[in-house]
Amino acid sequence: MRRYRKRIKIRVLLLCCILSLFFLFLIGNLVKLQAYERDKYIKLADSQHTGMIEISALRGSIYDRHGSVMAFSVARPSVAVNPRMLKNPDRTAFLLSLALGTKKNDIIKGLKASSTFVWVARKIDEKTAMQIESLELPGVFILNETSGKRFHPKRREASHILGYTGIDDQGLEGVEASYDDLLKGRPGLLTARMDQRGRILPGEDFLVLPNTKKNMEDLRNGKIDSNGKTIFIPPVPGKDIYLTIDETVQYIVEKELENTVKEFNAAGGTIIVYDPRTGDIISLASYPDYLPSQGTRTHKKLIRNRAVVDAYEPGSTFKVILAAAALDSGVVTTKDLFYCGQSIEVGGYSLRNADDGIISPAGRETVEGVITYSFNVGAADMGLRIGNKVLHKYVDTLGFGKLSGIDIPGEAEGILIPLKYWKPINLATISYGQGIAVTPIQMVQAYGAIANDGVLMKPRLVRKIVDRKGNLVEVKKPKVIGKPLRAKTTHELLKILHNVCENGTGKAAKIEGYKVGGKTGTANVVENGVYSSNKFIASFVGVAPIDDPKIVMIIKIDEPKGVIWGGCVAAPAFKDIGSQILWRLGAQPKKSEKVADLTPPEAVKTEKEKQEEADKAE
Amino acid sequence: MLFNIKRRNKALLPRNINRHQKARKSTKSRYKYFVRWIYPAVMVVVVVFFLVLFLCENAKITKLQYNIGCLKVQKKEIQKKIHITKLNIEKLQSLERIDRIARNEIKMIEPAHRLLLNLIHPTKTAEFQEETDSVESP
Repeated sequence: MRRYRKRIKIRVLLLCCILSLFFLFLIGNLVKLQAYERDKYIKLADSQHTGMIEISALRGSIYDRHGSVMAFSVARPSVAVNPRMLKNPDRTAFLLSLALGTKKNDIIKGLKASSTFVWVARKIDEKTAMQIESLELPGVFILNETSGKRFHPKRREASHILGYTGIDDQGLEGVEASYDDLLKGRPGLLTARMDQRGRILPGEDFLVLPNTKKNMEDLRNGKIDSNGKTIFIPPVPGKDIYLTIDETVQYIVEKELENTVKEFNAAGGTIIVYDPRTGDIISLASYPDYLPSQGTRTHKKLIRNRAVVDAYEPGSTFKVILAAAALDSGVVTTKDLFYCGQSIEVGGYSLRNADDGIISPAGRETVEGVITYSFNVGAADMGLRIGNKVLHKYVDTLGFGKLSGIDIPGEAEGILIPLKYWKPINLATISYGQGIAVTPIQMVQAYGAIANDGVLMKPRLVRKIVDRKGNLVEVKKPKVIGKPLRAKTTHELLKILHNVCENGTGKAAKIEGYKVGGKTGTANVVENGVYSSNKFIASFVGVAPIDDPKIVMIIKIDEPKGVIWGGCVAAPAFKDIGSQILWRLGAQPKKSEKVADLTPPEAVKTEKEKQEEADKAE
Repeated sequence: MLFNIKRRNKALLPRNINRHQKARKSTKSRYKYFVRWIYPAVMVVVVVFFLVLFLCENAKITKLQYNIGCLKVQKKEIQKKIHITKLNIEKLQSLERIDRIARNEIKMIEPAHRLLLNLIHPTKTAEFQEETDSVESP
């Protein structure tokens, strides 16, 4: 009996030992997990239920000089899919294609991908997004893209100035590209504990950090210790940009440009309206134009901004630059006479006047006569008299052969042969605007110096930059590049330009109530290194009003058909535009000599009113 | 003597002495019972009461925070609607639209002659004059 009891005791003791060991092991493991490996498991848990969301910033808006919206972003939802969560990819693709109005095949490829995130449609309208959400398809998410979709309320207006953006809101052309860094802002970051559906758990303390590069990097790399708080680095919204353009003037200019191009069946055209005192671009139009909202799907030919990209031979409009060089250098005076016969021999070449029928009865003309009646021979003679160095110096200081600095990408420098390669024939042809390639913006800038007492201004497209709250961030002040001409020279030149419009080739540019001046130009188009015999560029550069210049306007029409002369194609457009915009820009018209008939026109009567009158008469 | 009585035969003790002892015994045990069970029960009830109170308050706070979250979402939606309304206003004010309506619907035509009346009051020239004041030189 005792032995039996003893045996039982031993067994019980053994069992107790085993159980004790087991529990000791459990407790040891618990201590190890809770004490020694605590940090490791906390981090693991955090990584599982703490999410990091990048919050895009809303792109800044673009306004005209008076605050009218030209480009605007609105947050739009996008549809994304986690292919691994899909139960029936075919059915999901079919339903999505119905809601989005796209083909099922376009969607199904993405749904069968091996990744966990695939975009199906970006930045769709709210109604479609709600329809898709109501389908409650597993694995399909609607995400609000805070960077927004770009809208252009004025449609095609100022398309070449504004440019367009890509699907990720990156600027691709125009001001959108030049000022992309300012417009796009800086994205923010949010790290928070989230539930299974990605919703942030409430009751969490918020820690807001300033949006700096260091904070963003530290948060991404986990260097910031949140202590269980939600960390939020708010996005910095994009800045708003105010342009120098006037929306109404831009609209008028674009309309007239389109009418002119269509009237003469031309290949295209450009008009720039420029304020010579400040360098402001009041309007810049290029035709054909395009819809900025469809920029990514538009042919590059339409997107090309002819005002800054196209270098062309300016023709007779360049004679004014020659006259400026001649008079300002003192080599020539206003009384000097120049040979204006039918032709002149230079370096073995025979140079002739244009075939527009104008001849010089005396065979010799002053500077004013050469410019007014646009004698190529007279210009060549003047150029040969002043010499290579003088002409090159003035051409260079007036901004030709270099970038004007306008804030639009893709600007061309034009072509100005280096002085050391100038032969007499180059000097003669450059004198009347052939053998040199310039851009419309360079021409208008140079004429702007003539209209601004000889002061050359940098073209300015952006006036100021403000933040979302309206606080001024930066003001782009007008910038003086230099003073290549004396004021006295410019006054003489303005008189000459006025004479062109009064008695010369620019009569069609006269605007009633204003004294205007300008120069016409007709140049052959260069094709494959040879001048074309049937393609021309008709241009007119004008200043108005001549006594107190408010605008310099260049009109360049490419390859007009039928009528090709600048005085007939471009000059009338100057008149049409000028008469509509000058008073808007503060230029007071002179009193008209005609007495206005203030009798109101006969009112248009409705049928009812006519019937009543007839009844009364009866 | 009493102790002696206790050790001896109990049957010899008068019945009333036993009852007295029993009564004393039952009061003590009642007191012990009270201390052992009632006090802890009351403590537990009080603790549970405060716990429930604390949980209720926390639940209220959590509910309020959920509501705040919903209101923030609503505020964002309203701000978005304002933004979209501004966009629509700009679209409606677009010159191209006005031109199209004037020509196609109201049948307006371009005037053959323009009559410009010069009224003597400030115009927008003031704005242009301000801009020429500060000019940056190289």
